[in-house]
Amino acid sequence: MSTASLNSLPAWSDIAVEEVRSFRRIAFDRQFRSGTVLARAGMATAGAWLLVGGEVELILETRQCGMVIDRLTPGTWINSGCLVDGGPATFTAVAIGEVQAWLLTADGYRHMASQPGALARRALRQLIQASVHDAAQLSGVVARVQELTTRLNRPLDAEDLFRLGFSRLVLGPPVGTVGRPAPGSGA
Amino acid sequence: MAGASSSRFLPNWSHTSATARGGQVAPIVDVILPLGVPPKPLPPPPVPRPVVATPRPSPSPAVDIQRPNPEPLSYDPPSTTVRTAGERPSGLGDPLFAAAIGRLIPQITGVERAQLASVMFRRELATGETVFSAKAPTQAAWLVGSGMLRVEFDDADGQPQGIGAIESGTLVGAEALFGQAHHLGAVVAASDAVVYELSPTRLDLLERVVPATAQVLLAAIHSAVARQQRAKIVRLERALAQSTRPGGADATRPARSNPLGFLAHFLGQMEGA
Repeated sequence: MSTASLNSLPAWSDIAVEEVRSFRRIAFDRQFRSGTVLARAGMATAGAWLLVGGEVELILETRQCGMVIDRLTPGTWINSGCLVDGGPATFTAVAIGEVQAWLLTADGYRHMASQPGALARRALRQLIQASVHDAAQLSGVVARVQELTTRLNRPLDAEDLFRLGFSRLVLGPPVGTVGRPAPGSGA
Repeated sequence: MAGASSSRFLPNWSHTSATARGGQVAPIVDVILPLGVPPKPLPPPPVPRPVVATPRPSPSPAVDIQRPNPEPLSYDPPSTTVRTAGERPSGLGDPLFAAAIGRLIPQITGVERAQLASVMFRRELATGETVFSAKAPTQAAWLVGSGMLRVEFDDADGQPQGIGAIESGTLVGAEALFGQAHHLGAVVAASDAVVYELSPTRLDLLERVVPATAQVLLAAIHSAVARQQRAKIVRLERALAQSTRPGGADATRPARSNPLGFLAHFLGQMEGA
């Protein structure tokens, strides 16, 4: 399992010890085996994941089809928008290889945002960055769907979805975690 | 004490306060901040002069300059005015700005509104004018004060495809504030509009000078961006609503097999609440 720590991430490299302690009070570190689903689009999620080690595929899911819209690397937040409204996950996230990630719950987020501090501003900037990036990816898909629908002047069928970049989605392993990393391997 | 209510927001500006100037009220201090250049420290405060014991006229009950009105929109706080060369700030008394920022941050206080007004700059757009183009380098985010903007993405043939409208109180181009080098889509004025510009430089300045206000703004931007993301999901769901599922069955009924539909249902419940 990866032993990557929080302050190994570029955006967190200058983090103060006190900030790390504060973050550990509101977030939980978890490790996942390859192929594990961290979050499933449209289903309840415990919060947003900060990817610390490994890679994750971000999938836009619709009608049993999925489109990989991004391959996330350490330092990226997954489903950051869900912290705001506590709603279901926007995207499906699947571990590619072994993955270590921190879960920031909606309660932890509210606690953090209510307390002025460097940790909150750092995390908020990163969460916004992730949300903006995801929204931009979505905009591209929306534009392509609208354009194709307008051009064909009929409802899209499976062939059309495949032409847009969707493929049949098969998700094997259920949502879940492998367990906590060994003491001292986290931030 | 002058500005007692706002002193906690201005920890680094105390040398420009009325107290540091020997109790005298100084003219407004403008910091000329060229774009892209980090702010220089303010000149050292003048040495307090000995107080000359001259009788002062009794202060008018209506205008007490030693105790400013706690509602900051009624005065121009001397130490929060930060100007960029060649531009003018949105102005504390601008009702469009007050309404727009109030929609972005519903719980905003008067002091926070005044501080944000000092770093956001007004620009008037004519119908059809481009705020930014697709793939253009990012420079600033824009808060819509009035009018309507349109988001466009290029289709497969390179023709702009309108995918949504933006109303007052919405922040567009937020990617410019958070390290993204280029805009993916374009934003064009669909009607005559007023927008307020916030550059990354000024956001950084705000965070250094008044971190608590910057955090309030960041939380509001996160909330707004998340809402925009949800709205895009709904738009995609609508666009696909008539589509045929690969398996051939009705795709719109079972929520769990149609995650976007489940999201749209959730959002419908939120809107109805």
